[in-house]
Amino acid sequence: MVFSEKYRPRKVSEVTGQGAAMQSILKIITHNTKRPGAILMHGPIGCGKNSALSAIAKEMNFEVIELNASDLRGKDEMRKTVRGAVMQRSLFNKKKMIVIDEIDSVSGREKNGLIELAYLIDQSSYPVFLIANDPYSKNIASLRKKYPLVGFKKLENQDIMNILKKICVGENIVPAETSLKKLALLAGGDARAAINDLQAMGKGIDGEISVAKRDQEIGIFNALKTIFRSNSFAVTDALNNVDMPAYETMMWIDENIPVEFDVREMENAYHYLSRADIFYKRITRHNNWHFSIYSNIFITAGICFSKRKVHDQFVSYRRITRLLKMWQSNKDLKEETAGKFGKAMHCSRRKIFREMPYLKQIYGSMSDGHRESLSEELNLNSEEENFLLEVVKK
Amino acid sequence: MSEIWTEKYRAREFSDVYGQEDIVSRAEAFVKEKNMPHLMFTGPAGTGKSTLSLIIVKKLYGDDWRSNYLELNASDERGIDIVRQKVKDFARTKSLNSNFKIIFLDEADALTREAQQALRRTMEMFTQTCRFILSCNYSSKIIDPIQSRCAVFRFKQLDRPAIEKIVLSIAEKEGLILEEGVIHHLFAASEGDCRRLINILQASAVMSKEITSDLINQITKSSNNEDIKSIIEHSLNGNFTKAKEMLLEIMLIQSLQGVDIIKSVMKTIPGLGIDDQLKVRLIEKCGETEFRLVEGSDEFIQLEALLASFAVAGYRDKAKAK
Repeated sequence: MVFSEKYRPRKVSEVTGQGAAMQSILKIITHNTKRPGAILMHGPIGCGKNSALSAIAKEMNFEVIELNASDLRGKDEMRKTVRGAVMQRSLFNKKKMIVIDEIDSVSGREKNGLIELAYLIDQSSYPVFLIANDPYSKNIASLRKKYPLVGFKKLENQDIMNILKKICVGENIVPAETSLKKLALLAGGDARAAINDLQAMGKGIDGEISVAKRDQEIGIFNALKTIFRSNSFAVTDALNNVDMPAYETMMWIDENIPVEFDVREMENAYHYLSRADIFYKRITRHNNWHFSIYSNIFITAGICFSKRKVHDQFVSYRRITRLLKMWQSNKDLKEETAGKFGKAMHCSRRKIFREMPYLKQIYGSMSDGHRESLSEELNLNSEEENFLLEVVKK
Repeated sequence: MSEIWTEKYRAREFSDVYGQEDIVSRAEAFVKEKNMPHLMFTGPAGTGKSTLSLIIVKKLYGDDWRSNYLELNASDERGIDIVRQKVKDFARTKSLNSNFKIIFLDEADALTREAQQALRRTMEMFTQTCRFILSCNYSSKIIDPIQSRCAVFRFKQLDRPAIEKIVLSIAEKEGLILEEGVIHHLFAASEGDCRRLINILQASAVMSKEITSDLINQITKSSNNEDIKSIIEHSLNGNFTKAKEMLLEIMLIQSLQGVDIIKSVMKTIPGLGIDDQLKVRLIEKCGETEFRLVEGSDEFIQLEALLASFAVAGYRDKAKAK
């Protein structure tokens, strides 16, 4: 049995990291009206939307009717399928809840279908849960206006680690803490992905993770050699087989530019690396993936042709240093932490960045009691607390 | 009660907003009449724009202010579409206690001109149910059609007496002992920015209840000026790896902003012992780098590229001397 099913939460209290959203759902569940209506749930993949519902159903003894919106094309099909679910009484008179997944995949042109759905929801004496990947999709604008939105948060690494730990206990796996941390990091907030990885690696998890890492390292070392030493435009393929996030790749190249190049070549190389970074940022800013092509050409061919002649002396390329790794992992933490301060202090992250040296000073030097209540006030997790306390030794 | 002093001591009454007397009395009049036009608050950071807005809503709506107030940040939201969506969701329903709800859009000058056009249409669409308070540092960055729809409030940089009042009132409540002359130091260090002022004061107070000029210096001195000088020297001497390591260190330890680092770097250029032509080139590079950072590029990569230019400048300078 897949772990993600076997260890799905069975009680509301077992759902990790979604306190606020759970409250909103429980409210509609326990509501004692004849027509409870619907809510529109959304949140990133693997954050626990379905788990939340199934936990509630298990604990409070609901029968769950699951429908997938991509099967519900048009008014007639909608009526046939949903009507049945909504109108029929449950066997044995159990309470019922209706879950319609991927509601945003109903295309906007099939407006009639959605009008019918809203009509059926109004008639239903059971709560209806609509799950959307993208709640702001134009397709479901009419539903968004009608029903309250309940947002699920992306899970934090710590939440995912807690979930993994529980499974490890159940499965008699005794992994190193660092392996779990890496798994959680890799999953990027998707608990299902992390659980699947854990199952795939099983008891050999510690070994597997270091193997995966080793493969990745061999890949990037080879790519570096190609980028620095080749002399043809085919170098633009150098990173195709490197399985690494773009920013991390840039950091590896960054680390090794001074190893390979002399001063004048270095200026060219950094010119292209910095251009690559600019285009990389433009991808998200303008939501245009085509910019990634430029970014890639700059960090391969751009760097490659920064040299004045092909070097042939032996050079051993370096792994990224501890400091650089910290910088990398701190980038996201800094954003998140600043966001939490910003909310409390009524200002943007940008303004908080400017105040960060003082805020760190305050947080680090206040008495333990005050620090605890400040953490609570801002709802900081342990990673963010460590970020604020962090001082690198010279 | 918040543990962060900027919140704990945020003004709660109109009379507690210091240094902006004319503006405050106009805002008070709106509350009395329970009506107001769209407003635009412009002025430097930390002069009371968000604070005044919060006071207005709390006075207008009492305990229900949260459901009648939407606070948005143009620089944090990803694009105008998200801003408009949030505005729509909020503005769709009418206020229960009043004729209108209030939307506070901070850093409105972070929006592009096109985005501001879109914002203008949104403002018109919801004018029945909502009033906007736009906040920005420079009114000149806001397009005319928006300005003409708003009553413009210009906030002044806080002056010495205003800063003094704020410091004294916090010192009294927190039991701080102020050394003579220390207020002047605080004033200088804060540059008239109240948020900065209170953060410096709290950062000092967690060290010692006795606030002295030495302590303030210790908290605010850019200990980094020395570091930045040696980073530049290392680059000029071709010791790039060392320079790079130090740069990363000060960014990590002191959480120093890239933009601030560039500013210090630029200040040191005229005093460097290199060819004057090279100096101009390097300053040009600084300008380009600062622009890139403001546009959101990666601080470390961009600053490194700048350092690489310094390294080449050093190399060329030596070649020329020979």
